[in-house]
Order: sequence, then C-alpha cells, then structure tokens
Amino acid sequence: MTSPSGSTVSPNSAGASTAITALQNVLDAQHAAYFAYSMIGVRLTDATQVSRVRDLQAEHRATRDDLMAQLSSAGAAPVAAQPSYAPPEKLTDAIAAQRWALALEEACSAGYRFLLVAAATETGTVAAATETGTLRKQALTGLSGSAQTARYWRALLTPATPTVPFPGI
Amino acid sequence: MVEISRRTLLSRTVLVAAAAAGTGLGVTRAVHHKLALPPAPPPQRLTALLSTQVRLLTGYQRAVTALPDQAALLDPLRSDVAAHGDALRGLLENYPGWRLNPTLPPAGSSSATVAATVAGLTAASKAAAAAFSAGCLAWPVTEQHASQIVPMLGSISACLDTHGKVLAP
Repeated sequence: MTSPSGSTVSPNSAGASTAITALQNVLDAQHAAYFAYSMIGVRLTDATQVSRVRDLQAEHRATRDDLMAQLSSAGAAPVAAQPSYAPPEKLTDAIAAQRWALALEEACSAGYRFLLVAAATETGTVAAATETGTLRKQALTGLSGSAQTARYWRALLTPATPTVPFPGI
Repeated sequence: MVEISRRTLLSRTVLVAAAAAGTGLGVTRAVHHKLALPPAPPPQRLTALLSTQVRLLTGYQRAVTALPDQAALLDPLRSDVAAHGDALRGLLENYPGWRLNPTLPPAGSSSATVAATVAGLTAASKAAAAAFSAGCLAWPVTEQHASQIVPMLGSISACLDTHGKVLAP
C-alpha cells in the first residue's frame, strides 16, 4: 500500500505496529502544530514572522493530511485531533508565542526521531526491509525539516545558541 | 643426629613421590592454550563518519583561532560538533574492537583539512550532513545496534543541516 507521501506500511509486516505507533505520534504532533499556529500568529507582531507562521501552518496541514492517508491505507485508524491544545504558558506576548512554536517543532522532531527508531528496528520479510528504507527517508526528511523550523524560532529566542546537537532528543 | 620416626619418613616419601608424579604429568601432558582472538572491528561506515566529524571539528578549531571576531557564531556550532564526536564514540563502544582499528583517526588530527573560513565550514557542514544522512538511510536493518545508530545518525545529520543555515543564512 502506498500513501501520498510515498511510504508504504503493511499492517502484516514485522515491526509494522511499531511503525504505525510512531506515525501516530507524528500525526499527533502535526495536529497540535496545525491547531496552535493559528493562535501563535495572532500574538506575533513582526510581519515576516506572521507570514512564516501562515506557511508553516499550511505545511503542517499538508503533512497531517498525508499522514492520515498513509495510516488509513495501512489499515490503521488515524489518531484524531484533540478539541484544543493548551500552550505551555499563557499567550500574553510574542515571546510566549515563539516559545510555543519552538516547543511544537521540537515535539515534531521527537516524533520523527521515534519514527527513525521504528524504521531502524524493522526486520523480517524482504518487503518489510524495502518499506523500512522509505520510512527512514520520510522520518529523516521530517526530522530535518522540523529541526530547521525549530532553529528559526530558537534563533529569535536565544540568538547565541540557535541550534541543538541532537534534534529530536 | 636428628632421629625421625618411621611415620614421618613414610609421609615424606609419599609427598616426594606425589610431587615427582605430578611434575611428570605436567611435563608430558599436552597443554591446550586458548588463543586470544581480537574482537571484531566496527563497521567501516561508522569509523568513516567519525573521521568526517573529526575533520569538521578540526576545521572549527582552526577557524575559531583564525577568525576571533566570528567566535560568537562558531563556538556554539563547534560545541555541537564536539558532542557529535562523543556520541559517535559512544556508538563505537558497542564494538569492542574499535580501539584496535588502525584506520581510526587519532583525536584532533586530520588528513584532509577544512578551510578555516565560514565558507569552508559551510561547505564542510553540508558535505558532512549528506554523509550522515546517507549513513542513516543505508544502515542495514539487520545489523547489530541499528536501533541506536540509525536515529543518532539522523539527529546528527539534521543538526548539521541547521548549521549550514546558521553559517549561510
């Protein structure tokens, strides 16, 4: 079965349940990010950042839709979005909004890193091994993308240390 | 003249005879020496990635010295790269033979140098990110310790991607 993202996950292949759990985790993080960016955008005052938030929200929506299709085609029920997502602190200003954005992207990174773990440990049939390569690419692409976005927010919050050595951990 | 009892004489005779018999057995009996086999070397692709990290770290060290006005930019990135080295050495500890491998670069040395400029570090970071990404995607599913190695290589690759953006925004 092939998803819009190109990855295939067979529910019968060895390790598939771990991969599906990992994909559900990523989907959960995408639901949260899509929801939160609309609230974050309201609190930002810089036009460039507001524009970036719009783009990021569209990206998270597209990724969310792809993941839902991927999980459905694998025979799994995609995890549903929660009615709302609470920020880690009260959204009183742009700084709080940027902090929430950073936390969201770090959650996405952690989800993709867990997907890498799942893809790394899949063994069994040749078909499963083939799927693993595609899943790994999906996970690595997602991890790099969310790490870059996290770097963008971190550079605004702590310009002296915009990077972390191990994104997703 | 010292007199000894017949019992003492007999026991000493038995002792001497036993020692002689034991010596004879020890000399004539075949002795099987257990050969000490060296532990298996680590996968070459992992040591090659450590070489890449060492080369990049050396480049940072030279650049920080050559470009003191860029220290605020380069120091946090250098710390990340140093942490990558610690993580890679941690992974190599899974293979007890890695310390015996003569192809490993000694700490702080490098065969190919990275230009001690921001442009040189940018190019080297991008090349290193590509190498770690390839290593992450190609690591065999069935190889030992894949569940540790694949996500770590992915995280390092994602980090080096962010370095590329910091160095050349």
